[in-house]
Amino acid sequence: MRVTDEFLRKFSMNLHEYEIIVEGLSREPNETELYIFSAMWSEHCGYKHSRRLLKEYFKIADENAGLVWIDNLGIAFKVESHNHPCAVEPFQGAATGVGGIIRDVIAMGARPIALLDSLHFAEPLSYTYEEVISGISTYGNSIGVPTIGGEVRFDPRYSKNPLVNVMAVGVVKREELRSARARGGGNVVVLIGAKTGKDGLHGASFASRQIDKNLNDRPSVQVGDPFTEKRLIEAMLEIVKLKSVIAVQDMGAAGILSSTTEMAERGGFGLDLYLDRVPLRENDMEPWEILLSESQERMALVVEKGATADVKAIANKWDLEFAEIGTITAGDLFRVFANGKMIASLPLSLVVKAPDFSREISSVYESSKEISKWTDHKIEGTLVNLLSDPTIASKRSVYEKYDYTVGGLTVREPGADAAVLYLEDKKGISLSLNGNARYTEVNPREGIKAVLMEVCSNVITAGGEPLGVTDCMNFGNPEREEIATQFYESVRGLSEGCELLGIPVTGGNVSFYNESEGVQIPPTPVIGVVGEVEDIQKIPFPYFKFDGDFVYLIGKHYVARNGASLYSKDHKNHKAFPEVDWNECAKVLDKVHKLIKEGLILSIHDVSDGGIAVSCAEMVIQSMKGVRISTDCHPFEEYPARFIAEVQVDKIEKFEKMLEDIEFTRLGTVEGNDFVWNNEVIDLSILKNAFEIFEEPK
Amino acid sequence: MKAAVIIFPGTNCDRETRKALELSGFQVDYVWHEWDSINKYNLVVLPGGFSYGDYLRPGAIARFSPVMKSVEKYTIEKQGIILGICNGFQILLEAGLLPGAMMKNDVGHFICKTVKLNVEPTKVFYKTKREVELYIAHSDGKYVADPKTVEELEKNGQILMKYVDNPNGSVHSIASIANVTFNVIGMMPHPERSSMKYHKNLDGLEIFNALKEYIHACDR
Repeated sequence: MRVTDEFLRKFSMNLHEYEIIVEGLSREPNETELYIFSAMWSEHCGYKHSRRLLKEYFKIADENAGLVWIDNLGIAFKVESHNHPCAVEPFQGAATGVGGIIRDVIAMGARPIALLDSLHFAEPLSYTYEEVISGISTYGNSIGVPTIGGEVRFDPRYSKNPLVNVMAVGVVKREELRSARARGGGNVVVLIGAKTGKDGLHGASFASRQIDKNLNDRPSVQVGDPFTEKRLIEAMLEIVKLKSVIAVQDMGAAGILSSTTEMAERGGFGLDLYLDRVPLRENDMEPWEILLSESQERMALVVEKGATADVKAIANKWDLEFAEIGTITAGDLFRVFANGKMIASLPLSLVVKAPDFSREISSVYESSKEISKWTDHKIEGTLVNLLSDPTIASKRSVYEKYDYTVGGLTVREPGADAAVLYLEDKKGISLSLNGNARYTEVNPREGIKAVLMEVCSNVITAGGEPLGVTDCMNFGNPEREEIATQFYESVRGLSEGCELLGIPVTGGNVSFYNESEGVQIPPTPVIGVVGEVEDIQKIPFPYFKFDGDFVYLIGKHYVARNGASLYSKDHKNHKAFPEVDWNECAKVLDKVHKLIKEGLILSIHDVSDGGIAVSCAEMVIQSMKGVRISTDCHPFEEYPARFIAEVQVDKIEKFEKMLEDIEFTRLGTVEGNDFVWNNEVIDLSILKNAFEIFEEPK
Repeated sequence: MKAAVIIFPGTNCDRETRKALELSGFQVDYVWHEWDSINKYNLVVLPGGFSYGDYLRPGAIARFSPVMKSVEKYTIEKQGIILGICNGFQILLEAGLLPGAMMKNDVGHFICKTVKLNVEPTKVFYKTKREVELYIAHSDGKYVADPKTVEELEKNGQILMKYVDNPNGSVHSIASIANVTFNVIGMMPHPERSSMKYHKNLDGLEIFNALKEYIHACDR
């Protein structure tokens, strides 16, 4: 075979990779085999630039989703990106992003109970913005999984590459937990769900390169059918109860190929696939197209030999396709059969282990030490500007398009720091998903810790104790040293932060190549955290409540300059991240959690985008209860692990005593009908109107 | 008192509806849409969701499910009360068991939020408080009917709830109606989402409790 550039481009690989294949096989691969490698060795499936690092820093169980336990209930959760599809077809891209991550949770045997999404756009109300939100709403509402949280952030650098990261959360009983690890030679590989068509061909390799405006990438985008997904959810939840079901995996990127080979390889087995048995939506499909198709709403199972009838009966009840498409074999051979002939025969370990392209790089970043001072004696103008900044402003008009109460488990709605869902007895879970590229672009290593602190703070203000982390790493082209450095430093930072807080990274997703037409996204790692709420009756309010109560700032008083929202308007983002005492931050978080457990805090909100003035304003707007603050704190500077808390007078003594070894400041009191900041009186309705800039007129 | 919660493919409010009914003292069974024996139940609930994906039109395909034949018979023979919530309401309209139809919300998209409702002093909800706050969650909740039908509904006291701040453009702010014989009820708001002690309020449970009393009164 003549290896030309055109040939390599067709299979999205470079010469070096081709040579590794030839060496591994001791022969030239045939066309089908080349397609197999092109998908499995794509960055999206093979994690060539990230695998080694993720393994080194995180102890992630190789399963469909991460898992934490609350007594005998497993909470399965994971965040995944669908950035590339959303760049070319935002509605379907977002819809299938929801569908895909839901199936990862189902594959664990868990019933999906919540969705969160982190969305990054260039500007609000654009075509992409509207279509992505509509795609999430259409798909999520229909399958009956509430969308209860997330974020929508804006920066012009997301204009060509919007980020759509979706996190799904499910609950599974210990005895119904399922693995993605096949075992037992002779056991049957089953496909359940929709028919296989030509949609999403090359989706994996498409997500592993820059989007080229001259190429028509639209056929690489899958099309979603929420009605099939809903039936698949219910069918799978019945199927996982069967003892004969050994392994389950979602058919995501690289469809049948990656799901079945990964299950076999994890268990240390080989695999035979029979493509003639795959139910097809269109007749003229090449074998490689059947292997690589990313048609949605399909799952792969490994079922004990002779026990597939029960699975088939359930599939029939829910009117889903059922097919026995392969066999688990002893050894390391992956064989594919079509039209009665063997069309590929490869060592399975070579197929699933893409080469490692990681490097050893790190970087040193400048840190800012000087205390940031607010010299203007008025704040109203800046405060109003910040409240109506699209990233900070109320997202009610977005989340009211999502069904956030279906399932009947919603305890705390979107709009506060974290949402809360009911679990059992007195218990609940609090959930939050956030990124902040303003921090991570200044210093990826320290910035990601600040993001982690914020997400954990959110979970804590809703009464939760953080249990585990999932992350979605959105970056540009990792072949460039600058981007690789950002990624490596982020991974290190997240690992350090998690160690400090004593919580594991349970899983996640990496999305590279988020750049096109010369525009690259800022490094945008997004972090999701699940927390345990011991008693849902003890969740504090997210807004000011009673006249006469004291308002406190918990955490650092004077802080150094940061990549704060204050500086984002004129794009004069500060180039240095403050020196942060992360041990101190971890202590603050722990203390706040304890204060809430003790019932000493009536209302609380973390200080994030826009600093303490914006935090106070947000607490005022929700209840329209006035506040009087006197402080020399910088009103808008941002710094991790800070909270605004309302404490009732009879609890002040206990509250202050518990905070002995933590920095805190009494800022003022809840009173009257105005927002008063150092004697500057601001009308609440002005703040409310600024914050609710995106709400539809009544 | 026994209640059935019917499950169509695509139904997604079945579990919380069952839980809420149990909280108000019903013994509840799920009934798969292909089964047909519902005569032993005092209350048959068509819960919310997206039956058949709401493809074509909400409720347009579900009305042809086998169980709907039994629902029709159950209605004619007055075996008990039929309640359709949200998608269930849409199915009852499509099946012609309630008058009128649903259209896309005036705002043109899905809305999920709590709304205030005036509970009309009809014989169904005569004892509940007059204003409740419940969740709505729908794209197609704009109730429409010809002027004569609306006039009849008003005259006969068939309108059970009206929106205080009409969120979807429904005629006469209608949120819930009964048929002329008061044994088929449809409502767009979701009482099951305001029924558990961890919910925002318990107004929904009050609605289910009132319904139970109404069924009791009908039996006597």
